[in-house]
Amino acid sequence: MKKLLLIIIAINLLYCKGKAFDENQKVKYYPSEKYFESNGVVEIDLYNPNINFKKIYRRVNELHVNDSTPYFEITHDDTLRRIMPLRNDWGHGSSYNILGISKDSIWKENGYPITELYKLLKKHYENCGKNPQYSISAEKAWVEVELDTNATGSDLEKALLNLTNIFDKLNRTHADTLELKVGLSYFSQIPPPPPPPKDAENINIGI
Amino acid sequence: MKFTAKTDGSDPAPARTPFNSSGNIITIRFNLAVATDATLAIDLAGTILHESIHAELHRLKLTNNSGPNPLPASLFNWYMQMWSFYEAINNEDFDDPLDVLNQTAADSQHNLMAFRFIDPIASGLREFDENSYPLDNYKHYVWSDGLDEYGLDAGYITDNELTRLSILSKIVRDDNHKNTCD
Repeated sequence: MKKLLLIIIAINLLYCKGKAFDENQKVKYYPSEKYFESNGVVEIDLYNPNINFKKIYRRVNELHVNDSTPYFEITHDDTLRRIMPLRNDWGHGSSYNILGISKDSIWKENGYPITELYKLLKKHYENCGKNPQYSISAEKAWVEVELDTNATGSDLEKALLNLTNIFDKLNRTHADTLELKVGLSYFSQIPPPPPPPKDAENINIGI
Repeated sequence: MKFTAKTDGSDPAPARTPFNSSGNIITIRFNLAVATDATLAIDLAGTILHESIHAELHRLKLTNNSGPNPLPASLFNWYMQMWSFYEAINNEDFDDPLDVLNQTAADSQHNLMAFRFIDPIASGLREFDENSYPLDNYKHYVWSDGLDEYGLDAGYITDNELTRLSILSKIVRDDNHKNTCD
């Protein structure tokens, strides 16, 4: 009986990892609290062992298509972070407003290591249209996170924790007026399509 | 073809043109949270042309490349090969048949646009800007409508070339020439 009780406690502890919440805990919202005010907010549990990055991506977009607001919850250092991922399926945002990141790289210009994230986030959010390859304004800037399709919810948690921590540092220099918008993607892992016909470059398409 | 608008702060796409397999009307829906008053007229013009080409490529798929202005046969065949290729992948990746259709249309059409529609769209933007500069000055506005990642993956464009075109685009953006829509 004692053994069974210990097992139940252990399972509960594992399941609740990162989800403990007390009233004194600080809560941060990304992009901001107003995005969570609709009735249809739905949490996607990053600690569900049956979910991988591709399934999370699909779930996020399904919820948006059905006019719900998906979000993730991450607890770390006494702060509960609520993150609403953007819709990021078959429509496409303007490339210059996107800062693409993976586990170890930043996809902008010829690429940067993830260790330069603060520098690139600052450049992206403070660009205001100066460099045409970076965001047109801080309001339209967003970050696209790509992980391996088989990555776990915990892997995504780690990537989002790193991103929010570095973003918060930048945001403090802007009196916390910036909003972090995040989308998910696995575009670079989709296999290439069949090549174009050999003569196609010279074909007149009539426009 | 019909234009509509909505405001959705959780969608970073300035416009969407869903594939409609059941009716005769193709709708282009602008997102006013992204395509705002502050958006440059040339950017908005680029989005309208980009979405209109999606609408036309939807029509060509639905009518099996019937006129007016069908695609040359080899290009249409490639478009259909890509359609089948992406449909197989998306059938695995998505549950909703509508998601499969829209994702398949976007993937195959963006590849086609990155390969063969950069110059025609840039030419349209140049005309919109009263032919103020050479064609290369307008190509950044076309690539940055989500076509650059397809072009980079397929080797149609390089990062260095995209940087060069982005620098040229500043001349269009920063000059004193006033477009009636600015």
